Amino acid sequence: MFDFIAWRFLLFAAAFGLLMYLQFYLGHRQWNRLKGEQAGEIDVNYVRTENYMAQSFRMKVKDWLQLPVSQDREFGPVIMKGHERIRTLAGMDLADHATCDDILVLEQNFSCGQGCSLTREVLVHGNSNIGSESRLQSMAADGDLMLGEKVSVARWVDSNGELTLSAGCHVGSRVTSLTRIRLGLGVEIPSASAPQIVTAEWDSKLPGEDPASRDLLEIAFPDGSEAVEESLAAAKLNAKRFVQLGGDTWLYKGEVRPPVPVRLRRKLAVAGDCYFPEGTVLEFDVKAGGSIFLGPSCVIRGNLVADGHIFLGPGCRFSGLVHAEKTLLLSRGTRGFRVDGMVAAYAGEELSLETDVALKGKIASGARAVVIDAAAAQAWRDQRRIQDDGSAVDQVHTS
Amino acid sequence: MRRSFVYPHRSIRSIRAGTGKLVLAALTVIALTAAIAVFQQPLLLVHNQLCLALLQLSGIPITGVAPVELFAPFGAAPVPVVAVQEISNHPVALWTLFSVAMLVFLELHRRIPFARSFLVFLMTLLAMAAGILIFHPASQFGSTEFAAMWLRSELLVWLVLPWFSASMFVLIEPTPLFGVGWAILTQVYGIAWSAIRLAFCIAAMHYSGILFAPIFWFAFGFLADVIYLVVFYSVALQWAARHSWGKRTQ
Amino acid sequence: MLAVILIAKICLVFSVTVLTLYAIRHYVFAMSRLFLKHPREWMEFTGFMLPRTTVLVAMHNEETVAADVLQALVECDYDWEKLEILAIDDRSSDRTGAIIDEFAAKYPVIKAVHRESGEGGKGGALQFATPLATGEVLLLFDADYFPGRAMIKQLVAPFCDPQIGAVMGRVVPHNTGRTLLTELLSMERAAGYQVGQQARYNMGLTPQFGGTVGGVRATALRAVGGWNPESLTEDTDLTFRLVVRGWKVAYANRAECYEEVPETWEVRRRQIARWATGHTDCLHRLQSSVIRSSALSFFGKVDALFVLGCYLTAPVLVLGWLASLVLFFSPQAHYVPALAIALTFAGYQMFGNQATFYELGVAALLDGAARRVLLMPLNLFNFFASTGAICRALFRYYTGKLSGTGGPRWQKTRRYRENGNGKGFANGNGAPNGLYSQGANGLYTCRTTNV
Repeated sequence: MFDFIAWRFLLFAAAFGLLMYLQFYLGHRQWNRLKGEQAGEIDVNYVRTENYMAQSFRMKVKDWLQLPVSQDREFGPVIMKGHERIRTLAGMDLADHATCDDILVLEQNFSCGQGCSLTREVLVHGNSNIGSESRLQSMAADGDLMLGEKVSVARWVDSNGELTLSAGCHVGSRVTSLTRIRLGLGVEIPSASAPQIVTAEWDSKLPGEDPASRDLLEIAFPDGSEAVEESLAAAKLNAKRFVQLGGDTWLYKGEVRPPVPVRLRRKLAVAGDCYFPEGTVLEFDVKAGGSIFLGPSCVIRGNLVADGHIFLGPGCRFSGLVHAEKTLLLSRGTRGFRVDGMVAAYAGEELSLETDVALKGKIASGARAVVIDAAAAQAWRDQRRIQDDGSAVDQVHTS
Repeated sequence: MRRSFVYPHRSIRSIRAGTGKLVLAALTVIALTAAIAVFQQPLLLVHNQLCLALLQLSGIPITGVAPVELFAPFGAAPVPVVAVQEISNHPVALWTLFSVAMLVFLELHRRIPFARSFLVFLMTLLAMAAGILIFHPASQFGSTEFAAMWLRSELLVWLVLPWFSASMFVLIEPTPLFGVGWAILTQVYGIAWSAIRLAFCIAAMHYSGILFAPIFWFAFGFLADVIYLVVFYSVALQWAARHSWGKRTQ
Repeated sequence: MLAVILIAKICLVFSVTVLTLYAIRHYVFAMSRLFLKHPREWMEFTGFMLPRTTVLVAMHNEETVAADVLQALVECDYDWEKLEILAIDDRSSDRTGAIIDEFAAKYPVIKAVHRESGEGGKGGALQFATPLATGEVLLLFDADYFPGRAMIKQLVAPFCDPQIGAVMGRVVPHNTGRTLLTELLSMERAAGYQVGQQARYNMGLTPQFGGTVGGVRATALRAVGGWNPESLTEDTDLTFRLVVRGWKVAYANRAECYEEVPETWEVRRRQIARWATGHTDCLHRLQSSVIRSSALSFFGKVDALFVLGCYLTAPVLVLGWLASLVLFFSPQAHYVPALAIALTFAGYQMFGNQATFYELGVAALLDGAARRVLLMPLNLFNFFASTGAICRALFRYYTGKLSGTGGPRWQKTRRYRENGNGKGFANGNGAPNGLYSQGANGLYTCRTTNV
């Protein structure tokens, strides 16, 4: 009776429909699982502070210390946090090449000899002294913290007192201190933040003396007058290349290479490179589409931003933010300081600091911040074809 | 030591496509494309045999197998020959099928808000086909022509697919070999799924003529190709997302 | 008949060309975002760049959410000596004005601004309040957003670059689990911000200032003539007026803020219709300035035109489909497959709102959103719905222009949160509770350094 109905075809159609639905089945099933769930992706309470990780660790220890204490046959009273052991001790002095796999909370001082290995976090309420070539996970000290030569820290270090990284130290994450951070030669870190960050051979002065004042050529900005055009010509700038972006901000479509020290009293964005001779004063923000090279004893009162490299010559002073998309070299004697806040220097690639560099604030890099010697600084300059005074190798300055 | 590497915040994450992965991706593209090009005749033969088998299972009478020209370098491909209803000669059947289909679409349009635009798209295709059947019945074609169009497009999909697979699977997966395997699986699935869809379309055309041919072509053809590609991509990504960034230790 | 077929072929080739160019652009964005290094890390300067800042929040009948956003802003970690919050009651007929006045009375950092009359929606409200702002930087939030405590410092950090005229943060939907649409829109947003905006910024192109969770430099705003109250998308309008003059726009991916996305398709349709109309209107007004601008590179101009014309891809896609359909029934049908395949992969794969499914996936991968990514195939329906809504909106726009019946009108997007009580969201997944406390000056300090 129902021969006209193509049952087999209908079955095939049903199976086909099911196969088509299967394309959406995983999505449909996943939607049923996700229904009603609120996104918990942003920590709205997060407050950015440089020593966040260390402070967070201190708060967590406070909670962990409320956990029940048990007796361990080897270590005595311990707190078990999952499979990890937390030991609270008065103090500790580890011998050379000792290993400790526990989270340590020390009421007083801590020290360890050479080549030790501490695979968990350590909180020291007193001072801490780490022997050379030791390996740490991370450490927070309420007193002073001294890392010996070639100590390697997997994550962060923090101290309320003075934090010293001896020559060759390597830290994997933030270095923070409420007092001072000393960086020895060859130290490699991603970032550091403290009221004083100083490198080897620092002369103990921050901010130190201002450079001797000198006569500077004032860069005036085009207003159509001949006097301004002459002044710009003296600075080897073409009035026609200036564009006023708005208010106090100008754009220069070219390179800036004044032959004499200048004073800049506006915010300036430059399309190309900037080479500022010794003694130049930048009162406001400067941005370069290329690189910025500043000769010795320049003063930067605004922010400095470059899509390429930034070179601060010996004895430069900056009181704002320095941001280099590529590399940044702070030459010997550079000082970063401001009375009413902190300065910061960042390089997208490598941030190099010579000896006797000091700043109040922060250094950070996309790759590493490293303290280098004079030879390495020379190599940096040679690679970018600039001289000690920040001028290009093919440029001649007049003073 | 805990793991020394801390996965960065999602705002600055990226994946390093090392030389090894790039080379593997390139090899995958070359190998799969070459396989399709070199083995296209056996593949088309297998495709046709699967199609024939499904048509027979669904009780569709098969007149024979005919070769159709695809593109110049590729030669001919065998396709099933099935009698297709000249539905323009059966106005009652035409209007019945058209009305029932439209009513189904309209009811779904009323009930499922998020699918409304898609249903309007399908209704447009159906109306266009009905219009052609009524006003220009000479435009009707048979299963051979439909299969030829189908295979031309699917062959292009099979050739383009390795390029997508290399970038979507091989480069993204934390385990590159998993990515290669997934790319191969996608390719195989695509060929088999194409045969199943073609078989259904031809079977339906046997009863309904070309009334639903545009829907088959656009929705079960191209759109279904993109859908299965997206499904495979989403599964691969789910695996990659779980394994790329690690888990915070408690 | 031959003429019809010829026209269909031309239309199909045109459609495929346009959509393929867009597809290539999106694949380039996705690949660059996925594999290339992330430059311009402004987040390291969070807390170091501290200009005087004005936060503007325009509210029109926002009594359900006003308290939440104001409380969140008050709790932001920023020195109140350098902060002012202008809460703008824009001709509200509900309790919005009263709520604003309550907050202004309680917190000296908030100033109530009441706009009693005038046109122009959000742009008009901003134009009204901006002269009262004393900040160097003006940050904008919509009333239904929920800024986290670090948000203001994160958004102002890029302004240390004197050429930056505007900054945009990232919006993350918080009501994702309510309906299927919200989950799909969450993926779409992720693609737009995590991939699209970030890739454009990385490549030196122009990320878009979105008018919320973003900021503009006051001098830059004045230089380009302020807000445009006649534009439905005053954010897009401002973005391109800034860049043609020579300013840059930064994208701060780390500055994440919650938003509400439409929960029903009807609300979504109206939202996308407004965006499509506003964007396209900007295209017609600004395309010649973009082309003539000496501040933009060649690729910058090309990308800017792609951005401004992005909603035209919907009618172009529909044109391509119709042309394919005509050719399907023609004797030329056997040539169709090549172009139709191209149309498919260029057009159908625009699953997100102007984003390829590849971008959606890359965003989900980078976010680690393993659970959500399986919903991607369901985005097909969102894609068709968006395409339909955009086509209808543009049809109304162009017929309105041709008939001179006036431009599109502002329509407020519906809010879903009820009874905003100032408590906001309590979710947090990183910091231990009680780590920080807010001082009288608005700044947060660590509760203790000793345990």
